[in-house]
Amino acid sequence: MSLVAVSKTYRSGIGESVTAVDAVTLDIPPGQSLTITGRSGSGKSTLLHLIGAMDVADEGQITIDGTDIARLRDSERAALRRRIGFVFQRFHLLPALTALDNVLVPVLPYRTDFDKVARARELLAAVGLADRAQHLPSQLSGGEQQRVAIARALVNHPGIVLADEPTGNLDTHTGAEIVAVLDRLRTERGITLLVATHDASIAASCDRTLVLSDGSVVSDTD
Amino acid sequence: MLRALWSQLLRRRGRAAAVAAGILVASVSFSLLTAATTTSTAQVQGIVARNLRPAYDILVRPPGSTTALESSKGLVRDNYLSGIFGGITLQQYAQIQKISGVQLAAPIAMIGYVLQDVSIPIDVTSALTPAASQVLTLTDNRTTDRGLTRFSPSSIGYVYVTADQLQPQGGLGITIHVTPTTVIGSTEVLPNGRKVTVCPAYFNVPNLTSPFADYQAQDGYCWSRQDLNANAGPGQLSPGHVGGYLDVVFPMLVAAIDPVAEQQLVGLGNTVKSGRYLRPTDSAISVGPQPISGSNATSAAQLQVPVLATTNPFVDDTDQITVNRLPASAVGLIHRGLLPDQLAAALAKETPTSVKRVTVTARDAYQQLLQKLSNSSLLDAYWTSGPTTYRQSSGGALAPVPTTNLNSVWTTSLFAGSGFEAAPIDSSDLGFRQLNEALRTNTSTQLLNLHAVGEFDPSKLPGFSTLSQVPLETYYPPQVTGADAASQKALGGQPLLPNANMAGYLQQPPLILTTLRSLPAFEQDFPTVNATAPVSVVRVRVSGLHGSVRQQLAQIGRVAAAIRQATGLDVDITAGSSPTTETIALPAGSDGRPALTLDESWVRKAVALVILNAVDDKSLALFVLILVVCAFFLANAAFAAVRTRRTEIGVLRCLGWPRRTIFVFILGEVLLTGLVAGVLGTGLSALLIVLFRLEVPWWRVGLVIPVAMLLAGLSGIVPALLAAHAQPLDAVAPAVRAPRRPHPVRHIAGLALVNLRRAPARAALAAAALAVGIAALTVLLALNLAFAQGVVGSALGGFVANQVRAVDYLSAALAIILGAASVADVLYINLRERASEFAVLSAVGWRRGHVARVAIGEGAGIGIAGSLFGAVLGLGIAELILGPDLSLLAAPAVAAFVAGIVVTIVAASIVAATLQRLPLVATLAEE
Repeated sequence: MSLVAVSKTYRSGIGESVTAVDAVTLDIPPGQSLTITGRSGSGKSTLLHLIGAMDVADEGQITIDGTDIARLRDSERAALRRRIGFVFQRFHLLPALTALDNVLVPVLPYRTDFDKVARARELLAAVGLADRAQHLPSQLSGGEQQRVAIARALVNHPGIVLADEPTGNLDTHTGAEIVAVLDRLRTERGITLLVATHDASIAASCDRTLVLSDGSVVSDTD
Repeated sequence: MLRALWSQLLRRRGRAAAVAAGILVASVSFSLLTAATTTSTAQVQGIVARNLRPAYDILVRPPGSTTALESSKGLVRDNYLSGIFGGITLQQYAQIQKISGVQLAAPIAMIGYVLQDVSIPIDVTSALTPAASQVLTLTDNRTTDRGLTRFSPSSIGYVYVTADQLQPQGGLGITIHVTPTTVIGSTEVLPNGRKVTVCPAYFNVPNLTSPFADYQAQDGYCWSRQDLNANAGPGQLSPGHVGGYLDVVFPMLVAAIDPVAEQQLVGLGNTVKSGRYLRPTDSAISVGPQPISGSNATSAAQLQVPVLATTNPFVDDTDQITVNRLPASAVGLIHRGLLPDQLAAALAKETPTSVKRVTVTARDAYQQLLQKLSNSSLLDAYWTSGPTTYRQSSGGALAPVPTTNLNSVWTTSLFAGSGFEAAPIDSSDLGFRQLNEALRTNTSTQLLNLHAVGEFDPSKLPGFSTLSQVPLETYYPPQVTGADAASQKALGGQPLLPNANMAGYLQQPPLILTTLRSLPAFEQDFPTVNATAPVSVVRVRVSGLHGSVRQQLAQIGRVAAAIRQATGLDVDITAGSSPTTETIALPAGSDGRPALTLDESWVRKAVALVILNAVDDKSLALFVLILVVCAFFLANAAFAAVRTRRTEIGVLRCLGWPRRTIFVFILGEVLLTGLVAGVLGTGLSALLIVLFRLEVPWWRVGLVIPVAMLLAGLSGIVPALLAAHAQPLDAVAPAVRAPRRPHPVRHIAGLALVNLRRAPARAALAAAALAVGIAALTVLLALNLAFAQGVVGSALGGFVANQVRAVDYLSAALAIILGAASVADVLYINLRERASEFAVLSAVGWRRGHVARVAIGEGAGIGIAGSLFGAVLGLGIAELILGPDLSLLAAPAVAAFVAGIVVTIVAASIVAATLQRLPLVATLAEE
């Protein structure tokens, strides 16, 4: 994955332009774990959204597996999103679905070459929720909901997982558990992991740390 | 307060505009549609009133002459006169005339068919060759039924032309000894001096052995080139021309009328083309012995009946005469001195060469016949025909049942009744009526004689409205046309007409009219005539009608009841009736005509009343339906407006706003929206009236603002009450709660279903909104169908249905649009509140189409539930109004059900498309 001079500017409610990401250039080898840190509004989430093909950069080029994602059509962008797992700060589970069904959501409309339900159960077991498969999100704790979200992010065998403040809505203890789960799964499955976070424990467990300020990279350390 | 309300509307201008648009559409639709419905009802009443009275208000027929089919279906058959030869006494006729309210009673006494024959000259001069002697034969090919029926060719004689001198034989005043084989003809003096008899004919014309015998084959017409002016035959060829003659036997239906009554009924006297009209005093008169044209002899004394003849016989018969030249050897046969039948047989064996064709139509023959009638025409027999009976064919059409008439019905009164009349060849075809012959008894010393005093042209009769015309069989034949493509093609797009087959399905109108006062002449010479009850039908017009259509019909009904009570006759009220079409399955004829499917114009009675009742029912139903649909749509829109402000209202409650203030605030907002919509609606109504030239009174436009305010107020009360009872915690509660029990989801439809279960009340509201629209549509369609079935089976009904259809379509469109808009509104809010969930689906890799399918699936779920409930509800209401007729109600219910699902899916697709335009990241961040 590589980013070359990627920029994104938003227009605020009062009509001012805000540069969320400013000429970011990065090169991330497969299997690497990278934390993106910085103050609120520094552009961490926006950078993840651009890499995750949920938003489009105004300038620059993002290449994943040799493909310039700016050139993809809508359906191809949807296909790319299936190859990237995304973990949100607010979990974004569908409240009407059980934990198992939430994990199945990404593959629900598609045919797969694997048993979808078995895969979902395996992932729920991997995040320690084998016994909570039939529970609704409202019946799960915040940490459990985030574990379900992590399982959902992995259901398509993604090569890349993007996590936006995965512990931001959790207490310290639960956050640590989530960090441990993420780290274990990354190691087991050889996933490229990008985590936007304020959590120092996560940064400590990753191979590389990127610091953003006003949308620009101010530090990039291993 | 007003400023606060106004600022609220501006801040939420999207939702306010939606509610305002709803109120605008509803108020404008309500005002214009109800006005249009009222106008349309008035128009229908006007149409019915204008077409209420045809030529006669009441038809009186002999008891028992109304068929079961007519009684059960409320019909009067087009050919009601056929088969009725008397049945009403003159006393009953006089009783009818005296009944209070009877302005005019016009009787028809059907007497019967008389056979008249006429000789049509066939000029063969142009077919002659320079040869001194030559023989030509004449062959008749008769066709009828628009050429579909072709009778076998028959010989009508031969023409012999010679250079030798010809001398006539026999003649009146010459006494000769007659044997059965005695022949007379012309004597030809051959160049060798030998005398031979040519063109031989039996002195005593032999009796016909069959009414359809080829009796003209022996007729010979001999001409000498030395004196072509010495005419052969009846003598109608121009001097210097030679030829033969076609004898046409023409049946003519004779009827007696009251000339004064007929003049008042249809103005018959105004149609007289030549001669004079019948006088009330006209009756059969005795005339002394009359000189016979062309001789010094005189005929016996006659009883002369004055008649008025039509100029148009409405008979479809064509004779095509082929002139054939025979080889020179045929001249030798002429000179051989053979008997007439032997000569005819010998000539038939010669090889003919066709050299000329001459076409003679029934109209041509009739014109010749009229000339003969003006010189009087003797009667020795006449025929009556029975009514046609029908059976129901497998296809539902009426199939006339064929009958067989024995040759004995054609017995002649001449020659001691030992032979047959020469019947028209058409009568050998398939028949549908039983024929009865009335033979002159010869007890009178006077011969009966028809004497035309004038001719009338039926095309000059006054036109009556085509929407309410009744059969005038006295003057026109029944109107019969091809009902299917094959029959129309076979008939060449022309109507089927009567022909000379008196037992045929179609009966010709009376061609000869005489007076009732002449009837005794027939009674005297033909004792079989129905002397005691000679009148067949009486057509009655009622006087002094006033008031509404219903009142006028009631007055006519009272007169009809009085006639029935006084006379015991069958009575049909033809006022307020209208032509309808009955399908006739006419079996194939025996001479080539294929089976035909025909449309015959009958009369459906009481159409005016059915239409008025149906229009009244429909107007009321439309009014209620439009009101219900509009009110429900607005209520839904107002609910939607309140729902979108759930959080805001909760916060206001948290901040301590009292319930009353919130109620006034919300209701005021809806009323203000109604006012704005009303003002806009007034302008829109005016624009629509001008653009589409609607016939809506302008004061109706002024109703738009109060209607908009009223509708807004009514629809806003319940949502405002609900808002006032909102709990402070509603501000922080999720818009859509999770279900209590999980349901496994393995496909997109399952996800849509689960989503619907999450907000059952909302889904139910949307489904109910749709159900009201679909129920309205079902009722509307059922009413329309019932209206159509009730009245469209007649010309007037069809016309009226076309007049009111525009309003019906507008109402149906409104019901569908408002129902769909309600669903779309609910769906939009439903989906918009869960926009972040749809954004998640996109974020995890779902395509737009997959996301749209969830939204459409939810819409379809509401659509199916709402449409099903609506169709069942509509079915129930329609059943209450129209009665339990599943065959009538099922189709509208199914149509409305399908329409509901389709429009809901379309609405859901539009909503899904708008959702997909929401930015993914921003939508996720909203939660």
